[in-house]
Amino acid sequence: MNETFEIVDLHARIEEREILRGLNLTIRKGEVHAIMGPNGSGKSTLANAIMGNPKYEVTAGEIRLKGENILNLPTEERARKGLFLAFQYPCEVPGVRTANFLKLACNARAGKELDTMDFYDKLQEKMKVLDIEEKFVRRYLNEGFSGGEKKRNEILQMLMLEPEFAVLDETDSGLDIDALKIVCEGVNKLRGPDIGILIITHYERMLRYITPDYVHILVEGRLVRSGGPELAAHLEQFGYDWITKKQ
Amino acid sequence: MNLDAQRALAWQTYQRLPLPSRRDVEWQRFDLRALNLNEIEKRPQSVRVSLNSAPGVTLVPLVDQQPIGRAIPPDEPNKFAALASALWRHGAFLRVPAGHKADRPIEITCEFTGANAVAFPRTLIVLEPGAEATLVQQFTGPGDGVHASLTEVFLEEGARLHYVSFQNLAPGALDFTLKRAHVARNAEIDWVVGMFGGSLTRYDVQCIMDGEGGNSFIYGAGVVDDRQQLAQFTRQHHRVGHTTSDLLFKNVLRDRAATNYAGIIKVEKNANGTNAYQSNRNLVLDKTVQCDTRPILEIESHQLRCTHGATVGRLDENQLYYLRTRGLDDTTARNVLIEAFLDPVLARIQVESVRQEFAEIIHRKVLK
Ligand SMILES: Nc1ncnc2c1ncn2[C@@H]1O[C@H](COP(=O)(O)OP(=O)(O)OP(=O)(O)O)[C@@H](O)[C@H]1O
Ligand SMILES: [Mg+2]
Repeated sequence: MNETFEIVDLHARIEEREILRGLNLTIRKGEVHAIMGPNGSGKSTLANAIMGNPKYEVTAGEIRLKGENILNLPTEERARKGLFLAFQYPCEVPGVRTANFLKLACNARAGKELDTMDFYDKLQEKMKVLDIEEKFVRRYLNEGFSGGEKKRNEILQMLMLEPEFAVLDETDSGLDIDALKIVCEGVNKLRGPDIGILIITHYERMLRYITPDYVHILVEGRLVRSGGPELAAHLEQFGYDWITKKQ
Repeated sequence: MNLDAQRALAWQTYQRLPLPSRRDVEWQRFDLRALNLNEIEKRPQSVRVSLNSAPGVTLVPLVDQQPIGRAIPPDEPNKFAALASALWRHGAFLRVPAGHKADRPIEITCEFTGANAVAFPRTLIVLEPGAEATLVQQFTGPGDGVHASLTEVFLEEGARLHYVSFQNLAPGALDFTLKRAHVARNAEIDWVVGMFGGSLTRYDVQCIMDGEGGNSFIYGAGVVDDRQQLAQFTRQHHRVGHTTSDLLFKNVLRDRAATNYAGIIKVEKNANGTNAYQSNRNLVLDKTVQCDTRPILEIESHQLRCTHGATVGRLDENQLYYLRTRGLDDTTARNVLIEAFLDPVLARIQVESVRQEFAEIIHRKVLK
């Protein structure tokens, strides 16, 4: 079976403005990729195009999950097939309790009604991994959560849904040093032959905890350079000037 | 006034008051053609009242217990209240003796059963000083025709009532309801009202703050669809100061439904130190609905805190997308958000089993 997630010549725009301009990327299961790039270069656009956010229009290219072009699938189908996005700015949903929501999401992912006890056992276990308190999941989803709590909640959802390919959009921003470490340990627990991970970040810091196999640099809607972890270290030192000048 | 005199006066009042008309601001844009009051006094009354009491309280059929008619007098200037005062035959009387704390929820169920019938269930609730109780009242049943209910509540000094009431009548019911609570010194009513059934429904929910230190919390949820018309009138009347009333009515509308909310806050001249809050929030699910909301302030005191607000909004696209990225299909995501909108009302219900029952009714109605 073709265990890859492929983005082929992807063009996407928002409100008539072309943001992604021919992006190519292949992630195999077991791999961790990182994308770094300046503000506004299109990183979150890529993440949302992958999930099928209706605000973003894909004008050319393909996104293939295990060989199947998923561009015509609605967002929820993509999620059920194992795609996951940890949002840069997770949405607040007052009135929906986090645990109840997670139950619905896990049922949707499993394609069946899960046993309530099994679900709660698993939830407890994952909360322990992420050092999340019980009362947290009884609150309304993300409402009044601190920036860091929201990010932690995204990763809790990821651990519960066990995706096949996950995009983490600036999960590190807003996390304090201890929280970053805990979250990264959580991601590392999930890391393995059954999942491909794409980490979007501005800082090498997160990549020190989760060593990527590949690092890509996104500038103006295209991947302009790819390499190993050393690329991230280099960027940290020299900034994007170094890349854009070289172009 | 004895009951016969009350009935006679009420009938006169009923006959004197005009039929509702679309020209009245409170019925504007409503379709009243289904309302037929011809020879209403001759139609069969079909309502079944079941009572489920708790130890130490009196819960019996209403006959002529006191103080019937004191909160809602026979000459109440409301055509349907007068009609019910004149013709009612069935009802419930609840008295919780002084200092007694009922240890489990008390239930009153009024079932409207007949076809082309009428029902006038009347309820009288008295909590003596320091008494505490939870009361769950349901208006339900397959009946069609005119249903007009009256509920009078008296909370004496320091009494506390958690009152959950919901109306879940069949589509053929035309429901006119008036509920009025008197709240004495240091007493508190924690009230949750659900409005779900009937094709034409008028709900009047009122609290009268008679004593310092009294509190009223009134939370309402309405879910209407399929051409249902729901008129809501709330009144927070502060007769004395150092009293608090806090009201939130939330409605969900779709499929040619209409709501018309009017909320009055009345603060009398010397009722200084009043806190009065009123809010009406409406979630509109499609463009076929009508939603009107009117706050009305009648304030004569100068030292008070008062806020009121009304909103009419739609589902949030970002929230929908967020839920869908977690695998919830569009319909489920929408239903989750609709129920979420009403959750702050549900959350006021203190008894888990009652909250679940209430949630279940909302869930079924939303899934429809
Ligand atoms: N809703 C929107 N309407 C208009 N323009 C938008 C919208 N969302 C994003 N953009 C624009 O698209 C471009 C790419 O945005 P995107 O969010 O993908 O950048 P990013 O690489 O994730 O940046 P950051 O590092 O700041 O998160 C930006 O110029 C942004 O202003
Ligand atoms: Mg971004």
